[in-house]
Formats: sequence, C-alpha cells, structure tokens
Amino acid sequence: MSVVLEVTNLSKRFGRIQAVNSISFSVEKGNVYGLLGPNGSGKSTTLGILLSTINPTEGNWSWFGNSGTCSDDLKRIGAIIEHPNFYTYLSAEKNLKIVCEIKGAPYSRIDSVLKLVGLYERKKDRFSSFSLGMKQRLAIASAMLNNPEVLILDEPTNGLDPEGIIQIREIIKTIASHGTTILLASHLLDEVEKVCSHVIILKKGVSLYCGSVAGITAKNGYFVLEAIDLKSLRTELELSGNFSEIKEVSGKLIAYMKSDINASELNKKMMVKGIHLSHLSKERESLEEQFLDLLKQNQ
Amino acid sequence: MKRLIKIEWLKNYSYFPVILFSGVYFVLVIGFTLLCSLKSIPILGIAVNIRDQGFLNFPQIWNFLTYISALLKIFLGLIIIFTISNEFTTKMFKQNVIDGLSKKEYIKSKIITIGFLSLISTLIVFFMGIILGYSFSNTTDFSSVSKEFYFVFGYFLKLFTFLSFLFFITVLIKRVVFVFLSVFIWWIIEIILLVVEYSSKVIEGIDNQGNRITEKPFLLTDYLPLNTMSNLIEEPFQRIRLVSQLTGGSFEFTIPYGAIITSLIYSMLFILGSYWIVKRKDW
Repeated sequence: MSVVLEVTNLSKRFGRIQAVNSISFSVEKGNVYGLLGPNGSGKSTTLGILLSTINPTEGNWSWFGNSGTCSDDLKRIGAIIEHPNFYTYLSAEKNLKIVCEIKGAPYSRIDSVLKLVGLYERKKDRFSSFSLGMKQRLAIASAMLNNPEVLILDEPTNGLDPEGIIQIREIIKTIASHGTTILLASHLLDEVEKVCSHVIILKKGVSLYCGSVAGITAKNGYFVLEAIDLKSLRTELELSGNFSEIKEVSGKLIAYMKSDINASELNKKMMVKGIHLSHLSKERESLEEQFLDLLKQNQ
Repeated sequence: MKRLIKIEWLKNYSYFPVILFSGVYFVLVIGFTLLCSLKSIPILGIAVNIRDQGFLNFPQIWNFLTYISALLKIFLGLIIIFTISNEFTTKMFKQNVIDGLSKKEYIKSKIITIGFLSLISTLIVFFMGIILGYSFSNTTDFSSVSKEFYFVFGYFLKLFTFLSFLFFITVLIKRVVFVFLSVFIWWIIEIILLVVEYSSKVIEGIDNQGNRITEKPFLLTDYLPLNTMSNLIEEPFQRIRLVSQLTGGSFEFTIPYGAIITSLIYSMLFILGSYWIVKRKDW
C-alpha cells in the first residue's frame, strides 16, 4: 500500500506550551483514519502544520512523497478546519468558484459537489443565510471540488444537531466508499468508531498509538457470566487458568481472557463441571474503553 | 497572473465596502472635475474662479489635479483596509492557503489589486487633466502639456506607496478600527517629529534688503513614509501665487528624486514586510 502522508518527529511549541511533542505517524492510501485525542491534545495544531498554516518548531513530513507542504500538494488535498470559512457576502456558487480558481478545478465540478452534499437547490443563496449544518456541508463540497486524494476533516460534526451529524456521517461514508483517504480529527469516540478503520491517538502532543482500530490493544476481550452458584463458577474459572482477571459486577462475573476462547467451548466446560450458566456473552472493549485505558496507562 | 486577477475579482466585485467606496470615489472625482469647469465657485461666500487663477493652465494643471485628487486617496485606502481586514478576521486567508493558494500568491494578488486601483485612479486624473487642460488652459502646445508629466507618474507612485502602507498596517493589525487608529497616530507622530526637527534646524535671518529669509534645511523626517509620500507632490498654491504675481515671479519645477527613491523603497518594504508577517505567523 502506498503511503500518502509520513510524519516524523513533528514538534510545535507555542511559547511555554508544547502543543505537539515529537509525534510520528503515517497514513496509507485508501484508509479512513481517526485522529483521536482530548481537547488540547494537539490535533488541530498537527493538522495546521500539515496544511502549512502553522510553522513547526521541529520535524519533517511529506505528502505523496514530497517533503513539506507545497501549494500543489494542497490542491490534491481537501481540508476542512474547525468552522466552515467562506465569504459571507457571496453565494454558495460564487464561493465555490473562488475555490475552483485556487485549486485549478473546472467550474463544472460545482454542481456535482453541491448535489453530493444536498445543497444544489441553495446554490444561488448567500452563505450568510445558511444554517451551521449547511455551512459544514458546503465546506465538504468545497473540499471535494478537486476530487482530492486525501480528505482532512477537523471536528466536522462539532456543534451540529443530531440530524446534521447523521448527514455529515453519511457523506463521509459515501466519500470513503469511493476510496478517498480520510483523516478525521475528533474527540467523539463513537464517531471515530463508526467511520474509521485506523486510529492515531494523541495526548498532550504525544502520539500514543497509530494503527488499525482492531489492533489498538492486545486484549482479547472478556466474558460476562451469570449462574445461580456464582462462587463455584468463579472458582472453576480461576482453576481453568484461561483468565487474567475475574471481577464481580452487579451479580455478574466479568472474566478477561488471556487468549481467545470460544464461548460454546466455555459453556460446555462449565456444563461438565455441573455449572449451569444463566447468562453468557463474549464482548470486546469498545473503542472508548480502550482509549480511556490507553490514556490511563500513559498518565 | 490571470488566475490571481480572476480570484481577486471574484472575491471583491460584489463586496459592499468595495462598491460603496469606489462609488463615493467616482462621484467625488467627477463632481470635482465639473466644479473646476465652472466659471466661479462659491467658497465660504467668496467666488473663486479656478480658471482665472491659472490652476488649469499647462503645465501646472498636473500639479494642481494630482494634488487635489490625492486628497481622495483615502477612499481607495478604505477598499484595501476593508477587504484585507475582512479576509483576516473571517479566517479567509487561512482557508485560501489550505485550499492551495500559496502565501506568495496571496501577496501577489494583493499587489495586483493595489496596482490596479492606483492605475485606474491615475488614468482618471490623466484624462481629467487632458479634458480640463485642453478646454481651459491658456496654452496647449505639446511642450507645456508634457513638461510636468512627472506629476502623473508621481501620483501613481504616491497611491501605490500609500496603499502598500495601508496593506502592511492591515496585515499587521487586522481590525479595521485599530488600523484607523494606528494610521492616525502614526500620522500625528510624523507631524510632531517633522515640526521638532524643523524648529531645531531652521535658520532664519534677514537679508541685506531687510527681508526675513528662511532657508529650508535638510530634514531626515522628510523621509518618513507619510512625509515622503506627501513630498512626491508639493502643494500647488505657492507656485501659482508666484507665477500669477504681476511682478512677474517665476517658478521652476524640480523632480523630487529623493522622495521617489524613498517611496519606492517603502513600497518594497511594506510588501516584503507583509509577506514576512504572513509567512512567519501561525494562522
């Protein structure tokens, strides 16, 4: 797979604050990346540097194999940073014309991107008359004008109502399905979980993890079990030696696996020992739990 | 180049302050031209006849028109201040860069706008001069028409330097109100410095006929940005008084090379300074 973006030891210091501290990661073509981190973890600063609006203190990066960010590379990237920025006194169409001129895209693209985000009927209306959700969708339309190879979205659903959030997510999924590489910065974990295949986790300017969502932790998940005789169930589970940790939570046992075990096999084993399970489920930690875990480990 | 012109055009042609200030500017310029062609203009109850005073005679008409028109340059300045300030306060500059307009191209596009406004205004003054001069001047032979053509060039340079100055201040300070305030304060500072230097250097004496004479000393403060711009085109009233005296005074115009060179240097510094700010700052 070809690497679209390679970042090595990138740092940025604003006076006394180290906003980004020697982070490294790479983005491969065709994947949807989530750039995760709490507020103030350096997500926007990192994106700002990669888009040439912020000067880094140290570090290297390359887009499409070219060192740094030149304006020709930017024309192959579509980016939406924070709030949607447009000339408020111009219509959607005229705003997109300016972007077409900057990116070197033909005007004929305007109608098709407006249709993609469902704003075609509003193209003659002034930007200032748009709702926040429409503004955000127009920003996505603008970023898509030049059929970008990479789409960068910084908190695209920030401040939107549930309907707006769903619309944006659908658009992102549509774009991702066409093979566009997406880098989505967010602090909303379920959002990232719903659309991303890979994650980069930042905390206080340090990158904690970069890889697939599935591979974020080595843990194999856990069982939730319930039986009439909870005590002997616990003893049997401990004796089997397959579990690293067993704890009781509101009348149920939670058993963390050392290695992957089949649920029916476990059921059979317990049956043999004369324990009848009234509840058995195998679960994986959600991205949120894994994420919080990772942050805790790196405290 | 063509792309940058197109971008600037799309950005500006329907922006309200641009329409407003260029409209006001045109109305004032045309109104002034019409006023000059009148036989007598009532100013403070006194009928003044610009034509009879000799203001519209070649070659001094160039001095007169460029001097008066330059007073209106603030309206072109307002266009620059409002458009640039708008782009920085609404983060459009940042968005332009993200979309793929390099910082150098951004500065270039603004130089184009500044040059365009200066050029249009210069052309207007040029045609005003031609029309009023050929209608009312006492001589229209080519040598007097072209003799002080410097003023047309000086006018262009004056506008270009002035607009570059406002561009720089706006990029530096961004908010319209603060830009106004700083330009005003800067203007006052230059006046104070000029007065202080002048009064410390001026030599006054009495010549052998008993007349008071004052010799204008060399002033460093003449080379501050606004003073230099104003020295590009000297006020025309003194020379017209001299020429029209019955005693037969004469006036020989000299090109202010010092002011031209410093103005060119300032324009360059303001543009490079703006580029430096845009490049160095984090947006």
